[in-house]
Amino acid sequence: MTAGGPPASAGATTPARPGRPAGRLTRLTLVILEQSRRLTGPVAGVAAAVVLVLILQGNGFASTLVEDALVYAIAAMALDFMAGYAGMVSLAQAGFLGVGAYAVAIAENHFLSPWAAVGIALAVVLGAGLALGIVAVRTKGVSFVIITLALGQVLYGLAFQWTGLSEGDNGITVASLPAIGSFDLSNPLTLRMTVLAVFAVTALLLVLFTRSPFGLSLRGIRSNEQRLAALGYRTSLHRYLAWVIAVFFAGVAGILYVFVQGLITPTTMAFSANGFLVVMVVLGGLGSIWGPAIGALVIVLFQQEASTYVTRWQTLMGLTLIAVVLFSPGGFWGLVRAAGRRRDALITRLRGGPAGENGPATTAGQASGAGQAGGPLALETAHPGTEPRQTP
Amino acid sequence: MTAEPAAPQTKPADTPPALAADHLWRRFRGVTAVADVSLRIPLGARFGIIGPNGAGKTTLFNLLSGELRPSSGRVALFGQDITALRPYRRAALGLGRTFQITRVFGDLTVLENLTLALHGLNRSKLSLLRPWRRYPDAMAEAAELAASFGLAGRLGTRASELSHGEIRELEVLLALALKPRVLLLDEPAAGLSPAERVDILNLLRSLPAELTLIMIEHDIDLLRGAVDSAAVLHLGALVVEGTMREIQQDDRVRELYLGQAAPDPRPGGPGQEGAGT
Repeated sequence: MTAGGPPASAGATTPARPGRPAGRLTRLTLVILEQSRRLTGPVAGVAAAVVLVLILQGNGFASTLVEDALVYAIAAMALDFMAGYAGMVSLAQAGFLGVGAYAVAIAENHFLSPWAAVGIALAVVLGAGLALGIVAVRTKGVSFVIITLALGQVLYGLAFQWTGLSEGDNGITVASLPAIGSFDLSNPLTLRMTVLAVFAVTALLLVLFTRSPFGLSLRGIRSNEQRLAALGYRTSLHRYLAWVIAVFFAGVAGILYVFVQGLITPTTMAFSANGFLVVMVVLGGLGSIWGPAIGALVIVLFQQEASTYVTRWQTLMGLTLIAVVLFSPGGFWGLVRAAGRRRDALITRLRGGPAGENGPATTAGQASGAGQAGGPLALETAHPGTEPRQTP
Repeated sequence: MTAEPAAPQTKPADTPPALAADHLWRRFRGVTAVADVSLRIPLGARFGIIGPNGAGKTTLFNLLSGELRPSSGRVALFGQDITALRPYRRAALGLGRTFQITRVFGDLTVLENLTLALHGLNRSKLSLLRPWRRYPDAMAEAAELAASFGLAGRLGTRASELSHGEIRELEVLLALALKPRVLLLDEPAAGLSPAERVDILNLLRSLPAELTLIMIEHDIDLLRGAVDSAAVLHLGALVVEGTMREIQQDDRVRELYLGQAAPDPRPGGPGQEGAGT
């Protein structure tokens, strides 16, 4: 440790006796806690996968609900990639979900094979993202929110009024789903498992992206874009790429959406739908990728479950959102992070002193930084990518 | 004008100066912030820019680093005209800078701050699939940089939780991580304790000789230890340029620093549309 520096964490200030050997029980606790740092993530991931597979095996209400939630989760996680990391809150994400859905449906209705339709839809979404991104990325902060709102409304307007292509209010149905041999998406179980697989791949890819130098650069943009430019970063290019990635996965979600629902209507791209995706991200926790997946599940649950009992389910959802923002500004994932920090603080205390630079001391002090993060929504207090995780 | 003949060491004609400003002007809605400044900073120079508050020092820096475009005039880096280049392009050509109002990435740890800087001039900054912690070279270099300045134990600390002095140090390290050939330091010692000033001074002295250093500094004593020559800016224009000894003995500089009114040094050239103070 360097002389003169104050202790790195709050946990380090508790009285400690570094020289004295710890008791057997303390050492055992310490070992368990330290193992949990490494194992909690993978174990929770496997457990969640097993539960999801079991639910999706069934044909009941829960299965449909989870399937719908997973589709939205893909778009929400992708939105989080740009909103939570680069600070770009887009109100056009459901619009691009719609672009993917319409593109695949229209291509199929023009007698293309379902697989070709999927390829065309991906290309259309990518093209739309690349083109509209040139406009969107010119703005930052609130202006970006407004310009994406406008873009989202333009996409909605196209779906609503270009009746020759979109059938207007009636929407478009999809007759046949892609199949190869026994792998046939028109089998509901196969479709549900495919949705789960695409969700898992998307989540893992996005998490990987956030840990890359590129992901770090997005956090740098949110933190101080001008400084990053002085370090040689062409920041507009980085924001553009983040946008294209987010839009692309929204399109992927859209393709799955129309396969699951069998129908795409303009309502899917309405302003409220764009808003719900942002709510999923904020509720789940900005800058966490996994959080928005939970947020998607909660919102879909509200839409489908609560609406059967309460007419004003949106009021209920609004109250939930207020409660989360007030009591856990980092969203649901903020609670997970807080638990991790408490564990790390405990490890530091049991070790009897501040840990090395890679140790839990890193995260223990982060709670004090809550509330000063400067994301556009100013709700963000989680610190993406700083989960306790040691370099292998 | 005082600038041209006063260039401290005249290099052979075939070696372009590390950084050259050629008749730079910058006006903000009628207020002239930088007025006809020409400078030729030779390779490896340690050069200071002095002047009272509002003299246009930071504006001049912003023109040199590309944060601002000049109203007229040119900037050249090693003979290459960079006037039209944006900051990230200038950084890639070897022009680094720090900011007067310290700018580090507060949400990020010291290690993450340094890693960002280390990837800044590499194609790896666009890499998506390999975690940034799995770049052993960058990780080792970040640790080395941090150790060079007493931040070794702070790699895991969020930058917003550092002390003021440590943030200043990190700011300089971020600029150094790019291995610039020309480094612009905007008041690197502002707000530091005497002990921390010594730290900064030692770091600046330890920089490689071929690095060209240009710093804004209010503290003449600190500047005397860090630079050989300097220019004095007043109301946006160059008043004096020369060695530190010459600067300190110059009557006009004394007047400026003693607070007496100095004559308006700006030339009556075209484009000087009666700007006020």
